[in-house]
Amino acid sequence: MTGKERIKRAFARQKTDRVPWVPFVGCHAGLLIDKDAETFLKSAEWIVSGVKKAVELYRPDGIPVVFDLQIEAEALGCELIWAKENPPAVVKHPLCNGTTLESLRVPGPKAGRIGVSLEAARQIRKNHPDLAVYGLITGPFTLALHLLGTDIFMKMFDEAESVHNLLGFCRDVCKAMSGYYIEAGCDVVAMVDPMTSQIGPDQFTQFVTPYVADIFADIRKQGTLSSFFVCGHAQQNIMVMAQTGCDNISIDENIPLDYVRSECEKYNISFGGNLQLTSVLLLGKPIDAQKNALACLDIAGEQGFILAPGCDLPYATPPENLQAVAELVYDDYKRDVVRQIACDTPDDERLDMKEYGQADKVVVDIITLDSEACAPCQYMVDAVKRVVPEFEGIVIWREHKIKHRESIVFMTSLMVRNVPTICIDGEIVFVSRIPPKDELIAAIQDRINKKIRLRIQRKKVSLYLLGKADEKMAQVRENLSQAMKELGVMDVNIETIEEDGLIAGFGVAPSQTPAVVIAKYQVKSLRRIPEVLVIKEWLKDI
Amino acid sequence: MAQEKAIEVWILGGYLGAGKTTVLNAMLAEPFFADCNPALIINEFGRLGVDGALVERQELRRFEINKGSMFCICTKTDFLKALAEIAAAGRYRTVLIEATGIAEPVDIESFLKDGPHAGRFQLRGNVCIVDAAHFTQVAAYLKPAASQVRWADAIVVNKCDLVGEQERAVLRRLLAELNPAAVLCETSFGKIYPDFLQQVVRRPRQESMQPCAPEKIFAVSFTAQSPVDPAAFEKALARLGGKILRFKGNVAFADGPAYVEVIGGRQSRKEPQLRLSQQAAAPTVFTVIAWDIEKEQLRQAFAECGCQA
Repeated sequence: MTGKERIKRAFARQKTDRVPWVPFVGCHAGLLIDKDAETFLKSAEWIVSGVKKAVELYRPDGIPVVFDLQIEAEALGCELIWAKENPPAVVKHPLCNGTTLESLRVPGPKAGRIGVSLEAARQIRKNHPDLAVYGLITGPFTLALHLLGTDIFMKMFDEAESVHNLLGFCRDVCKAMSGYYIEAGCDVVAMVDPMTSQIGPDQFTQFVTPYVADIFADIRKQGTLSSFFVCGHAQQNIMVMAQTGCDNISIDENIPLDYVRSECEKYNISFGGNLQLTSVLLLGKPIDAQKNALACLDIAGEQGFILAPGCDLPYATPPENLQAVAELVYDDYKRDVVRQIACDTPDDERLDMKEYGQADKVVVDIITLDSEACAPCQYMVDAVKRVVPEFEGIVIWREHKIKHRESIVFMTSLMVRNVPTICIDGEIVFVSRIPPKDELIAAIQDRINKKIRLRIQRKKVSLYLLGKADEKMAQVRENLSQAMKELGVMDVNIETIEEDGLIAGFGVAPSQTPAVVIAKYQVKSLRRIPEVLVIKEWLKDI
Repeated sequence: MAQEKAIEVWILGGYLGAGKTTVLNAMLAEPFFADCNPALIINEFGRLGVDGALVERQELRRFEINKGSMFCICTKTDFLKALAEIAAAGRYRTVLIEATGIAEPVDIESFLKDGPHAGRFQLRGNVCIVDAAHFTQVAAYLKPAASQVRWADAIVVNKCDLVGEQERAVLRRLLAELNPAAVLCETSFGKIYPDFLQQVVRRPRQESMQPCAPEKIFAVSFTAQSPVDPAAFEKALARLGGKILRFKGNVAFADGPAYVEVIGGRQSRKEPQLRLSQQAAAPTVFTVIAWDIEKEQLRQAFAECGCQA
């Protein structure tokens, strides 16, 4: 199944082999080819290159041509200010500055940057025949705000008819833009109308529904799919949005996905969203992106859902976060792993593992999903099993299946983030990679060597001479001194115990003296409270 | 090491045109802010640089935020960057945020608690500027206008010189209904009472952070094809009384059409606006902004004189 087929089936709420994924790559694609947002959004060539790179990295099923809600506004005379890491912003609204609505004309396919976008759309269509190409248009309400500014909210009461006239014009612009994108080969026309989140369902029905319903009907007539994008606090409008005749509703993190799912199911339309843009995709780590994606997938179910970010991706989104989402989408096994990790332990439940790995034996911990159920885990466990006998009892291994809570606690305490992972004496050594035999042996040997050095540095000895001061005792003391001298051992404490009661405390009868007891000390923990798990390792040595 | 003191944050919100920048200047001139060196974050939809240029204390560090994607959640990145820079500078004790008229204050509050600088900032006060002449009109259409009032610790009712005492009284009741705990300053030309800022107390919220408030203020449009009985119409208006904040539109009375307007309980009539009726394809077409009443009750009241929502 191609991405395009997958998207089309999802839009029709039909079963798909997996959930389709559409990263809303706007100016972020500029980052991928080292172009700032302005340079990127003004050039068809860079848009095409950026999208190509995004397709390589993120393996999407569908991709927008460009995500810029100012294209139509600019063509209609709105003044823009450009930024390096953002789409441009409208700073002057022509209808507030003397321009009349009657003087505005629906822009042609070459006006302003519309030509750039359409040229890019044609090329992207050609380059990626198997992907669903999204043509994004600015919705009529948002476009009206660009043209008139926020005065529109006053005029909805004061001059309702002039607002309707304006929205009628914006509808015509939307229909023209849809036609241009459809002609350029787009499979989906996504109408982005975020400003509708500012009004309630009554106003939506009065001022938005008549126009968007007309636009969606027009798109449908041309045999193309439509999506209605909204962002912001728009939960109150989801029901009326679903009644406008669109094929899909896409939302951001401000609206609960389960609510959108239930509303869309009532109207038999599909829905998409709502990966968190800033706190997860921009500022989070790959594992955060995967957990968020998994949460979306779990809530949304497998039918009629398209996994997507809530809105235009921030320019500086780390590509690895989106790659991590793609990995999750493609890989069932990865989903299982993340599902386990998602039951993350709070910080206060984590174990203090700083003293882990102080046992005499080297401990190899293998963190797996379950070696009986997961092939990579099985290969990793087998690799360790093969090597351990070569160390003749000084290496032990254990598998920690993260199906169990205590294993997750162990895993997070060791800061392990991927499965399977091999840790040697608590240090992460092999991550998601089955080590060749020689490499694993070398890693274990390295640890043994370190351990011997540490042991020598850390061990202390006391010698107890038990017995009354007599000739025999004197001889024993002399021999001890001689031996220490010959070995160069200087830091051994020698203590003489003469009292019978104390001698008995060593398990020696007075009649058995002179006796020598060697007590070995090993520093196991300093200035911290060792965990029970760690202490158990020490005790096993005894 | 002693824990670093959190940077105090003031949020200044309110619909565009309410006089936020004027109040901002008044606040900055107060002894309360005169001695500190506050950083300013200015976020306005479609007016980049304009509000910033109007700030009288130009020596203050300003961060202007305006994105093509114009929503709080999309401006979050820029907000977090500004906050990070302010935190890193280490020389600011106070930040003033002039928020866009379409901002949901809960979003801004959440930005302060989010990201790598969480804990470095503490909200000191949320001040909402209300335009006395237009609030009841805007609040019915623009959802955040009412939530900005709900979340405020202080409300500055500006432009009081433009409205009569009756309208002010209605507005006072409405604001008290939306937010009874906020301190109130009724003023004109953005002047705030001396020591007003000292009275502002940040109240921790027990409510959910969801910005969607129950609709206390709403607008409903009505049409009628048949002539409206003037007596029944007057009866409906009298019955609804103070529940109607505004009324505007053509009413085709049995004895002749008129453009009726009701603001603050005062009714006026003019010649009908023909285009309005043509567009609605109905001789009677009007919109009512009401509050403190169920929508269904409002619909029922006008249904009794033959008007349908």
